[in-house]
Amino acid sequence: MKGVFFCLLTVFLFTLNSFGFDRVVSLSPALTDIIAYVGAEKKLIGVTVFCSGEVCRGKERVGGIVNPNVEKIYNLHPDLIVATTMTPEKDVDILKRLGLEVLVFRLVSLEDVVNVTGELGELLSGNRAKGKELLKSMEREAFSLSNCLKGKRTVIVISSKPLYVAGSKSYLGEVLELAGAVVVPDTDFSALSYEALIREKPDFVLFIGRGSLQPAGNLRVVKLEPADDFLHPSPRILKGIEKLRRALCKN
Amino acid sequence: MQKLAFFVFVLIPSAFLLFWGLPPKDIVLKLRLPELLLSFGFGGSLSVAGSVFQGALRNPLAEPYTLGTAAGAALGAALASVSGFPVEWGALAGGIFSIFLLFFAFRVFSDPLSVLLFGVGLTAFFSASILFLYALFPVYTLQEALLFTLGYITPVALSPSFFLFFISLCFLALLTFRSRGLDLISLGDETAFFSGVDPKRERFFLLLFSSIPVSLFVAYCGVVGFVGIVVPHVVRFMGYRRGNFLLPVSFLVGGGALVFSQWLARTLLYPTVLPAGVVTALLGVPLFLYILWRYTGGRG
Repeated sequence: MKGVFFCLLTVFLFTLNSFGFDRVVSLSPALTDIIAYVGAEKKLIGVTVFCSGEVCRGKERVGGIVNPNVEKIYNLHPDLIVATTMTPEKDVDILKRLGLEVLVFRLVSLEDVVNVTGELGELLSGNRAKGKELLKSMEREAFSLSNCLKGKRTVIVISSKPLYVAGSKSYLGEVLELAGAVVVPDTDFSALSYEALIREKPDFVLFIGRGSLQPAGNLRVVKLEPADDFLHPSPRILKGIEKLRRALCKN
Repeated sequence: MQKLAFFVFVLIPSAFLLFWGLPPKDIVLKLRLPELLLSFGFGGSLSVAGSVFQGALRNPLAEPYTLGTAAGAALGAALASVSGFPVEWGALAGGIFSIFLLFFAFRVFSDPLSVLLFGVGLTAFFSASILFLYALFPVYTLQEALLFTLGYITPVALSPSFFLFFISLCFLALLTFRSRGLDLISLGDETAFFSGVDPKRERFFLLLFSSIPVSLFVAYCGVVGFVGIVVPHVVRFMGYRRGNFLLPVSFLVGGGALVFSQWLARTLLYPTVLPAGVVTALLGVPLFLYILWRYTGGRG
């Protein structure tokens, strides 16, 4: 009887162990946000130097997104490394060759963000529903914007020199389209000339980023700060929507 | 005194790179040893190529970086990685192609300054082509391209780094073996011809053989400048002027110099890793200007 009990206990402990990763290194600020959103920030031990906010306190910094410090990551003995497609394949390869588990995610569209949130939720806190929950709250937040954005042509500028825009196929564009806006141009992320920007005849130009944006003509430019709340393809965009509502819908 | 200098130039940087911060054994073996082999081989090959270029083209400012060979190899590597070929072959093809262009330019211009300007133009054209190539593809790789053109040494596995190091040693031996031709060409084509060396053929082979290892390393590490200019001058200053000494000593000192730069690149802003090319430029440009001043001062 005792033997059976111990067997069961071992099996139970093993399944518990295989259930999650305990030492996770994130090579992207957006993935860090997602991990915090699914409630697994305690499992996170390493973040990039670009990480900002409460999540990163007390975590080791492991270098940049495109130039991670492989040696430092290896030294932390993580059991999982999460990266986006922005991290060069060379670095991912060497980490894999060192026997570490690396998962690479694509974070471009809203669907990507929702899927990755679901996947990381399942991997780290056993809760796949987090992805759908995120989508629901995004839809709810976006709906609250719809009375000021519905049917408006919108350009999302993420850098002024050179002019760089997030189009309708990017996560930013898709969030605004949830609110009924017409996001132009029809790309994910691309460079644009000022002339093309004016020719699009936007009702709103949302400017996220440093410096200032002064296109010719009477375009309505709305500057949004801080940029981190918008430029992370992660649940942090919820905060961004909130800020956008305050900036756009005040009257 | 010179032995002490070797010790300082070669062994201390290597020891720093390997053992700085006293890492555990598997980090030394799996990460730092490949990095040491890669940066030592690259620095050595660059300096040997610098010595050969300077002698064969009779131009104190010649090296693979200023004459466009490194940029050509980088463009080849970028083209290969975009079209799915192995980057090493692409880099090799790009490097050899730019050597052909350079050889052609040398025959047309035959004046050191014009050849140098031709190289500057070639470098600018190749670098612009790399950026254009990356602009055609998604935005995310742009920063990667920038790091590549600045010479960012990423960690590699042990076997390719060992292989590259071995290749650089082979070409060093080959060039040292042929160094009589280099010495004679540096005295002038006529002297070389009447001493039994065909200057055109010899020059072509010297340039080609010294560029092959550089191109292969560029595929892995990107474009690193100024090592190839400064190190041969330092070595000549130390008293090694004949090819059979100049080339091996250049290899050792150049390897040490790049290893030191890579160590700085990794330690200065820990945990961020800087491109090694930035550090070599920061350290090398003052020395380069000194060489320029000394060279013109010596003539005037």
